[in-house]
Amino acid sequence: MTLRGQRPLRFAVAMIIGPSLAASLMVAPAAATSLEEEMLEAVRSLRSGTLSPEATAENCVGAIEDSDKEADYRAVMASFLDVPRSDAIPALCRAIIRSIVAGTLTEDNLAPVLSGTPKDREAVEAGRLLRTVYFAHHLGNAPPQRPEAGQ
Amino acid sequence: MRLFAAVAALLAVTLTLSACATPDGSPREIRSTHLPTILEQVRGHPERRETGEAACERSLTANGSDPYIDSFLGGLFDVPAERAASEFCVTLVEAVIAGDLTRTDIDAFKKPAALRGMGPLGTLMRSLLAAQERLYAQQAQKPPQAQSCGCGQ
Repeated sequence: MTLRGQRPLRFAVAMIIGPSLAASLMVAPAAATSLEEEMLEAVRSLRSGTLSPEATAENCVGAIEDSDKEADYRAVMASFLDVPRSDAIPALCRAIIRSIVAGTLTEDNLAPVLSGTPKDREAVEAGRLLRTVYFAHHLGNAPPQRPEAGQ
Repeated sequence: MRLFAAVAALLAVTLTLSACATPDGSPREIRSTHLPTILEQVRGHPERRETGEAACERSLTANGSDPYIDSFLGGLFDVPAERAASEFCVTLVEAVIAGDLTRTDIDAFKKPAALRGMGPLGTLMRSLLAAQERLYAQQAQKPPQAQSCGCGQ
């Protein structure tokens, strides 16, 4: 299963910017649930191996590059991930998908960011998303844990 | 974008306005609540790390807290929201002392968002996470009796 021929998922975009852009992508409010569900289904499919990470990454890059905020994403991700601007979006997408496949980004993490509710969870998970992306990119694995006192 | 804009706005306010600058204290103390001033002092005097962290927290307190931003920073640092401001200050001071955040990086937040662009925000977040990772590694290498440093706690 690949994303080719499917409706564009655009999930990386919506993961990052939350409901405001997700809403802007939709024709009618009723589509909101379906887009969110579609993105979460993509996460499940990546985890189960029925969706190709490579094709998903390609789709992710295309969706972000098509966004009217592409320049802003490229600028912030180039400095955040410390890569050339030309590689910023591909690096972001690779990190997101690697994290999903590794299970460090889950449906539970992403759903509040996609839906924008509840607000406190949205903010926490958005921060966690960026943390996960950072460590997936720089270390290729899960974020480090705070050392326990006395260990 | 809304999230990035909110974070950038908060940090810009934090790093530039930070209440009114107050006269600095003795050479070993940092009494300013003006965050850029605080950061310049710890850059020049790394031995003032702890007083710089405390001054940073006072600066944030003086500006009032934003639950949304605290939650965001809590997620970014993987700490409870109530500890997010403290972790922000600990990592900010570390990033400045380590030279990861230069005066130019800090001064970028004095510019209006439209002129600043999004790059400085990415640099700031990267530097803070790198600082936290470094502090965790240092903490893990200390003997158990020396680990109650309270870094970010």
